[in-house]
Amino acid sequence: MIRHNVLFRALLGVGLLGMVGYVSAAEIKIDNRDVGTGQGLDDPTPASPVGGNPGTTRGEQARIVFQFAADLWGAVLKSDVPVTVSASFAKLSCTATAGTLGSAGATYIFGFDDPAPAGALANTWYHSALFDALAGEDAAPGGADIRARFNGALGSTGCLEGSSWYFGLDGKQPAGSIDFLNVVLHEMSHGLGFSGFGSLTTGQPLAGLPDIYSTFVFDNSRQKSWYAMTPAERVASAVNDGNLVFTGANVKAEAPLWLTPPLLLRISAPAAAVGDYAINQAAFGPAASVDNFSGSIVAAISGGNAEGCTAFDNAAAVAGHLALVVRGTCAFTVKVDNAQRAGATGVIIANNQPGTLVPGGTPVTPVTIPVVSVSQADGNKLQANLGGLAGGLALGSSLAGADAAGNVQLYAPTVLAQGSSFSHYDTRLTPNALMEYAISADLLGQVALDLTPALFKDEGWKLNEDSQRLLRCDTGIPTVVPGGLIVGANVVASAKLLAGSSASLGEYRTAIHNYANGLAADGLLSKHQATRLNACLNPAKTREQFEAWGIGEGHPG
Amino acid sequence: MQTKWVRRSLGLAIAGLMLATVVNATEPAAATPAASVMVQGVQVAIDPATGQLVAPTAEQRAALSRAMLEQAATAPAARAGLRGAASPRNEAEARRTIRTIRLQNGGQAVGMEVPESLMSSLVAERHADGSVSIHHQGDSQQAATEVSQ
Repeated sequence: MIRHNVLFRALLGVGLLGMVGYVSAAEIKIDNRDVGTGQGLDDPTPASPVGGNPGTTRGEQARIVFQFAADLWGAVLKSDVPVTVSASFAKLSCTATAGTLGSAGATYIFGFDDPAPAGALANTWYHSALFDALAGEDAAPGGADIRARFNGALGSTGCLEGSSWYFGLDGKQPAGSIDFLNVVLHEMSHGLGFSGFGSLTTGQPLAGLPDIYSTFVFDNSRQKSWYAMTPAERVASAVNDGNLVFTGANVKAEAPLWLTPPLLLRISAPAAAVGDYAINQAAFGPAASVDNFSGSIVAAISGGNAEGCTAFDNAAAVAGHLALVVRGTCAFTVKVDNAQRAGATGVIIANNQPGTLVPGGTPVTPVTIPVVSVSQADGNKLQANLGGLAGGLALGSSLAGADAAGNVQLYAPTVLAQGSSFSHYDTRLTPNALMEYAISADLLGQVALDLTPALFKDEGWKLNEDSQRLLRCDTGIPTVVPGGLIVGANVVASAKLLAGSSASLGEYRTAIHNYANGLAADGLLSKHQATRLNACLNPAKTREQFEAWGIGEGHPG
Repeated sequence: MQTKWVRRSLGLAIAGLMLATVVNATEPAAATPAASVMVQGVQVAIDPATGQLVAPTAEQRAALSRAMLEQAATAPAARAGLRGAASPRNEAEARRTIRTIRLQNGGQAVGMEVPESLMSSLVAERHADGSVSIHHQGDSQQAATEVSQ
């Protein structure tokens, strides 16, 4: 709730200080590559409107999501040069249980010769859309700035059967569906600037030039920025888990507005072991929390070791306490099953080798107790201090996903993951961020882009941090605020969508007023902002909006 | 738990255009196998029991890799479509697209097309024996960090 207040002070503050002046929002255009194919964005299969998406065919719904995502990012970013996204659906690799969802990225990159324009670096690769914004002209006329392909076979026989894209705009995807809006926002972000271009296997920059994203990357272990390292050092740095950070000033400044403290294992006794220990949650069983993970810690004894691969010899001692087991010999699920049978309230798995570890596997019996893992070094320390060992999970004092200096961590797992490593925020970020490599079901892309706008600002993008306008009318609602809330962007994207999908001016007025009332009812607007938004929805203003974004009042319908 | 403040702060039930509920990040992870999929650098899985996105199992990742290998032959077709021509597959091909452009302000810049290898979720490698293998982004990493034993 504290952070809630921090964000809302920022939101309302900017709103109350709403600046006057025209805001040059970027126009992001979708180049539909499926036209005439009868598939993907052109799919004529009838569909019922869903989650605020009024489309009546699968293709139309997909196009609406694409355009809504484009309007959100377009509202947040400033550019006098239109951004073109080439979009299509295709049958991509798939099995009945797994498949490729799609791919995307910048189509072109450009680098300014010296001298570069104000706010840009010379001899540095920029994503095409960002380069255009900095240059004030289209460096690749006729070409798309971003390319995005998605799997059009999703849910069909042999391709992730039982699943489907969710084309709603409300984030309420049903079981088995994948929220297309969050996926498009994520992929679009890669193309707009959230990616490096150098090789992570050779350490060489692409075509000999640094790229703007990588210039902000820093290795805490080596105390060197990305391009201050040798190629060999960069290769090693790309897998330096937990030590690669993004040093942009805006990301650092906004991190406290988004991130929360991490969950740690806090040992309270004995004195020799007192301290905080980093943990990873298991991929199975109930999540460990401050509420369900505390007490005495007892090492398992099973078959003469602490691996827990057989029924515990000291089950009576373990019962009612947290069990400490060591990795090795058998599956984690077997260890946990034995601990559960012994009556343990939770399990700490100590790694038996360097590196991070997320206990996974498919339990043969339901896991009802929480499970975490600790590093080999920490596990050794716990095992050396078993007498009176006690502790529990607690919130740390730092931010989950930031280093001690406050810089946000980047994804650099110990084994290189091509396409995932380096060009994403780290999975340690809590709450989850849009630009983590794994898209989480709890993302709120339609109203929160978290720390991604800040990163773009560091790279040179200019953001619309003033209050959002509906045509010439100032709503008093900031388009984007530090911390990544984009309520103003949602307002304009929604107004365009509602106007474009309404059959008459009256229908649009009803829809946009219902929408505005919903914003106010849900506490997303201050009274002042609600009043100003309402003023932008009077009869004259809504007529202008319907003329601009809808079929127009004089249209025969 | 960490996401609760976000939900509270946003309200999240906005007239069909915003959301009312989201998944609690600390809700129990499912024990049952989940279907898994991956985007460029993005891996998601759907738990069939809860419908929530979870990490895929090693078995599902392996199945996905097999599917990609089987579909390697379709890669050229999948790459086509940009202005009617295939985009460069790798850095070597991309370097051939490097060109100098003159800006309207009199300045000069250099530009190139971005290779598929930096964009797609698939990375193709041609081996000495002529065979082609496709690696799914994140596969090796996942096997290293999330392990069953």
